[in-house]
Amino acid sequence: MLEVQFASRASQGGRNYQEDAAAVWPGPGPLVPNGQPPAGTALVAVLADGMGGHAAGDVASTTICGIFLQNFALAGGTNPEKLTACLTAANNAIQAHVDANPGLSGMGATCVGLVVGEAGLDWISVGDSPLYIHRRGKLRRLNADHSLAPLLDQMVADGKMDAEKARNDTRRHYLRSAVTGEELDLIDVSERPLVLQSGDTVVLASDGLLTLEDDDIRRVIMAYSGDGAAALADALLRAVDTVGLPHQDNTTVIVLVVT
Amino acid sequence: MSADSDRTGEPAVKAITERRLMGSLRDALAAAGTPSKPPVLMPPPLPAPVVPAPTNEVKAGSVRIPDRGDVGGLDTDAPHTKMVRQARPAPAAASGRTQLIRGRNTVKKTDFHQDPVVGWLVIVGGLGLGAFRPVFEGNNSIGRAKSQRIPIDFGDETISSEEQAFIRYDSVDRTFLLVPNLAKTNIVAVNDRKPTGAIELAAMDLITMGRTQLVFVPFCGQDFDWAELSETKG
Repeated sequence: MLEVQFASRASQGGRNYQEDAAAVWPGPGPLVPNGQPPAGTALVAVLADGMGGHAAGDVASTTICGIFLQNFALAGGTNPEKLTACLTAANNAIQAHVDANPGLSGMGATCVGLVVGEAGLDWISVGDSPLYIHRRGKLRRLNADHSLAPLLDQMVADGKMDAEKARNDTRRHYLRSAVTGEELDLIDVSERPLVLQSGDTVVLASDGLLTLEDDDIRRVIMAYSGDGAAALADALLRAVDTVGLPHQDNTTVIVLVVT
Repeated sequence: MSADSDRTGEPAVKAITERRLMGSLRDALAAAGTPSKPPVLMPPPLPAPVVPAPTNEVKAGSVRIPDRGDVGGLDTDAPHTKMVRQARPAPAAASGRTQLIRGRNTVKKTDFHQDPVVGWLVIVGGLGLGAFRPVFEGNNSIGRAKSQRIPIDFGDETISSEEQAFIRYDSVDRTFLLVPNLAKTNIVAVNDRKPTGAIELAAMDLITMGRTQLVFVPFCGQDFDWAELSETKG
């Protein structure tokens, strides 16, 4: 048997609000209605990076995480189908919330959910919160980035834009898809489970972590994954703090270390 | 409550509302002598959403899964994800926070034989009771004169002839705003409020201008906008 250690940490960075939310089961979640965990499921984690201002971003992200976990046990089908059902339920909850409180209109969040089961890792993603896997010194992003950044980078690759200009473009962080209660424009779902092996590290984060370059993230993982998930999660947040951006965005990480 | 007590209770309501012009839609309808029932059926309200307490108290732990041994490096894997739905990217205004952008096609006016209606004002009190006026996309001036985009020309002389207020519908964020014209002598009220700036209008809001009471009925909004139609026509 492999042991999957998990840990979740959050930092407000340079902001006076926290619009990220994260939830992991097993935990004090209502995921086990009849005392039995869903078959083939070892762990469910969800992370949401809220937006919308007026203190509504945190409402959106907290609602999404709660509804997502609540619905996992109720959903049927394969893990990707369950994840899709959870995402739909979370989106509907946001819509119901906005309908009941029109003042919250425009609130929303990114949402990345993952499930570790017997078959491996499955995930679903809307927005720009990254999901990484680190294996044998290589870091790979598993989910698609629904911000404008990939499009800007593509424009650079096509020679339509200056690389420097694209890197500093203020539109990089604009989202093309988010959970707002409206129809979801882009959803990224794992096609088949990624089989995990001993030594793998999975990092699910809000985009505050992107203050670090991929290479920095890889180095921190290499240095700290041996000390366990909690130590690695702390080290990632410390690394973000060390960069010390004056308006550092909220950063939340969920770390899984497979041993 | 029996039908009898309803009937006997009604004059009392009327007596109160006749003294007070401003009030709820129900009051306005009672004052106008119509049955106290909204003229437009709205869908029943949704149950209040359950907002769970944050479930992230557990910060760390571990679970077990079966070991399948060495499954190879990351590069040997084909792309693992699939895109479920496509969207149209579009730029938006700048802000520091995480924000969503969406491509919304603006309505081409030439696609329509006339200005597309986005909502209505229904007169529920005062001169012109029972009539309605369409609200169009963009800025709508409200006044007594026929030149106004929303002419309230039923003879209520207490409404300014021009630009007593404006109703704006923005097809990008699909909201209605009422903007009172503070340069005019008469005061415009929405429900029990007398706004000094733009306020968002919701379905069945009661607008009072002069001695006329109007109820706002949206057609466009989160559920529909003409832009969708022109998009699907492609």
